[in-house]
Amino acid sequence: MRSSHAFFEGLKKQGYSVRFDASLKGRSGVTHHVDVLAENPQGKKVVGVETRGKEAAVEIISTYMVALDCGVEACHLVDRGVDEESRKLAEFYKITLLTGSV
Amino acid sequence: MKLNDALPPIFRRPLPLLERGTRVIVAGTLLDAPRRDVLKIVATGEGKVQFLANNGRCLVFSGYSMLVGLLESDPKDYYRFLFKPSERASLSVRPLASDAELAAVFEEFVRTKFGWALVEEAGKYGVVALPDLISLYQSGVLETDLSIRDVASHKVFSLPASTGLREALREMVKRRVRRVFLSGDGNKFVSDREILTYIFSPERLTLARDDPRKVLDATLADVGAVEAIDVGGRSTVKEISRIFKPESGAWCLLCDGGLVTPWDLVMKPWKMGRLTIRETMSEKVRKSGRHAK
Repeated sequence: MRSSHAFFEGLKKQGYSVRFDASLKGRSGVTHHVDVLAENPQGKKVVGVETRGKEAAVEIISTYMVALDCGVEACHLVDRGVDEESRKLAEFYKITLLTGSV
Repeated sequence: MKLNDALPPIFRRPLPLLERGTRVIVAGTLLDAPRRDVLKIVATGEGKVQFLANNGRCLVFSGYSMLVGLLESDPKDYYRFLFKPSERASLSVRPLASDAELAAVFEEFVRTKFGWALVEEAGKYGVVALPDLISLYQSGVLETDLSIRDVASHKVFSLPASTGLREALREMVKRRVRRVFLSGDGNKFVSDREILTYIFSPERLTLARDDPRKVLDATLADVGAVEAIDVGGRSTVKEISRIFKPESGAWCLLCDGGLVTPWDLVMKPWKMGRLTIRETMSEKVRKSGRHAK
């Protein structure tokens, strides 16, 4: 797993602007809070959601919900490694797992 | 026979909890990872978990409550419904006491028509479900002299494979059935579980985001049918309970053209007055100790 710091630094080098504690409104009308939002000049967005210490499946599916509703790429930030089941779940929902916090 | 004597594992397995405010889309997906009957809705704060209860009733989220909520929505609001708090698609149920008689579980299943019930023991909650009762044939707690033919239902609910999901689900909810067979397609059926998995697949959700009606804009054939297992009618209920697969939410059998579901394996013998609940050795010892006092 890559570190979240390296991942978002890499996006900055590609021209993304990075904001912390951001909000995005989804197609459902719900406003989602994310811990980090990176956006490039073409409008492509990548969000990062930090772990809240809940059940891993709940957190990964919640991050997927933001990705779906806002039409963005999403990363889930964990403080340490995850088990095989969580890794597979993240892969299924195309959620990038990163270590560390923003 | 007391419930906690018959089924001690209920409180040893984790009860999936759902924090208040969790969206239906997350709760609905969790019902399938792994397959679960019910999720209990709780409030958390200051490191404490508080079970949401009112007048002794608890809030739970189930596939049935979710489907009822979805069907009550206007098709243009289907996608928005998925983002509502799960409390808006929940049921309020009264838990059984863990020291209730095992018979109370059967009575509760008859009353609610659900194949699960919430059980409470000193502020802790667990779920007792049909697979738990079916397992009691193997431990000798439940006994019946009925054969599988005796518990089969000969009125099998079926619809053409081209039936839309909205119509199919409406019928399933109205009739309180979990499976619909495909007319003229042998042993093939679609269960509510397959439909939930289909609705909550990333592909369907992406389509629904762009056109909310797409949540149910598909047919039974699109969902993909599974095949019921054909068995001989002479097998006993106890023999069949050995091949029951609880991890498959859609498991069912066909015998002599009749349908046998997990419900039929325990609830039919109960309703027919042909189910005996036997005391376990530990209960006999406990009772004899009580009498000795």
